[in-house]
Amino acid sequence: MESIVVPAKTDYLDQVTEFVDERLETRDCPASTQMQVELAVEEIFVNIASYAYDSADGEAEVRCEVLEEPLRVVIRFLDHGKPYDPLARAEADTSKEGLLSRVGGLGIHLVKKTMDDVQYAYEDGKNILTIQKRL
Amino acid sequence: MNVKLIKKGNVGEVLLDGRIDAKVTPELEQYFQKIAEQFDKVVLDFDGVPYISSAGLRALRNLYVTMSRKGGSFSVRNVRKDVMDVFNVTGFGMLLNLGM
Repeated sequence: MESIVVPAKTDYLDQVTEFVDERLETRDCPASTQMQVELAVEEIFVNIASYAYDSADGEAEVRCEVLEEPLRVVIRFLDHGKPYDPLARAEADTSKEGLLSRVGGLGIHLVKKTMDDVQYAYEDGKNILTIQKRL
Repeated sequence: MNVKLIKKGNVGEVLLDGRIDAKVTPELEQYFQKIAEQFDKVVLDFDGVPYISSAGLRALRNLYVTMSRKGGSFSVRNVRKDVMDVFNVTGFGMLLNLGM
């Protein structure tokens, strides 16, 4: 599995997206699928950049590989920040009233709705979030 | 991200061009607030937008709230399919009165 390590800052989003896109482009993946993967990558990376280390500096590692049968991409995000399971938070309220009173959790909501599998683990002092999407 | 403003009296039409991700959203949000002060009605044309993330959705939500508070209106048009899917799955299709 190939990997990239970048400072956990939103400024590095493009590098992470390009890293994943390069792996997808070896396959003829539909544009809408690629967009959904980019969206999930952004939401997870920006979450790490925003919350994992509070205001301290830290790094995020992103691993990516394309697997066969079924053809799918597996992307794993690792950080050394405080333990945080984004899958454990309450479902986002997407009613009109909910969106107007408080917008929260939309990013992880999008990840869960668009990816085929999302798993969280905390191991060896690391948050590990793994997503899978069929191509 | 490029924006082009077309002024039609008290209506401001904004043609958006580019991806709306977490990197461009802070600047876009400042622009939205400036537009919200200038017009009673704001129309965002999404024809040139191939991608939006939750950061962009929050900016739209904030523009919606700002326009509602001042008794104005805000609408979105020419949304591409991939972006519409994001709107629909997050409730924004309903919030923005977009045909689902």
